[in-house]
Amino acid sequence: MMTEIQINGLKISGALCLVRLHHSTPDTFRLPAFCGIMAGSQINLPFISTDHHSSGIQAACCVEAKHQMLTQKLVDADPMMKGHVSYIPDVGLLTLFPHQSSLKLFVRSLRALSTESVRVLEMASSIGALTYVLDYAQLDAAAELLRSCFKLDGNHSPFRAEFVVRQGTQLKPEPME
Amino acid sequence: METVAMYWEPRIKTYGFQVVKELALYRYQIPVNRSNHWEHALECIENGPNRFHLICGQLNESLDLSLLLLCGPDRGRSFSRPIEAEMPIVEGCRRQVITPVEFLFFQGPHFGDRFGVADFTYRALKDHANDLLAAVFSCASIYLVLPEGSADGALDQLNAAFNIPS
Repeated sequence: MMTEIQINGLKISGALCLVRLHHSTPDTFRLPAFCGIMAGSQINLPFISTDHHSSGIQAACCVEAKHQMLTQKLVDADPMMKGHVSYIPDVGLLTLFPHQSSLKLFVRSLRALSTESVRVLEMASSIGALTYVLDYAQLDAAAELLRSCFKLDGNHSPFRAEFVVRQGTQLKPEPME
Repeated sequence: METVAMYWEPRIKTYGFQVVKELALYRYQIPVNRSNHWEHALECIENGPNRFHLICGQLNESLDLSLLLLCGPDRGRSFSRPIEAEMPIVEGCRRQVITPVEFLFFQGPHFGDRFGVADFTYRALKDHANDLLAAVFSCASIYLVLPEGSADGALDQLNAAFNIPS
């Protein structure tokens, strides 16, 4: 019988696009430049993961789906980037927390997803959460899968963000009362 | 409902940096389309106790899972053994261990919701960005894995760039 693992919650993101940067060596590590281009256009990167090994660097990040076209345009306009970037549209983040630094929890979640043929494109831990990058169309089903293999605190249900933080560089004046 | 937050920080604020040294970075290349082997290996791993500092992975077009596991020097073995026992003859199943490695991580308010944080971090790191073994920016956390002897230099650069409220 499987031991019960309790988690406090599951969070589902909005629609994103996964951007992968290819064939970088330490001398042509494109991600810092890519981050600069994105920052210049005020595009947030809610997920980044890199693996630097002898045969090259694998780097992946996510942008909001509404920024995919602009991202492609900016990449295509940059000779260093053009031809070295691929896009997987219609993905999303499924985040479960806390991960308790437990391999058992990680493996159980990965098993549940792989057994039901949920395509895990990327995954990474943060300080308290474990985040999977999945096909957007599979997010709700994947959340239900994870819900069924962990004990969720109280009546907690998988949730989407109830507010959006938008960052600006100019302070808009408050309306006068 | 939409909440608009106005952030403008010439020096981005963080809650402080933490460094952990003498860790091991395990890198696995696992063909997950061998589902029976993979399933049994995962079952063995799940039944063994273990802890990690960082785990991240990527599934490529040929269904190879590149998995990075950062943990104490001996802890990765219980993860490795089932994989090696179940998939010893599968072509392409590879493991690499780099030890010792160092780990630098930090977090800040709404890091995952704000543009420019990754750019600011890479600019602050300067040449240390070329030393990285792995990096993860997820939720409000930033995790950097560096070779032995590199974390203190990277920490100095980040300390000089970021604002740490006293």
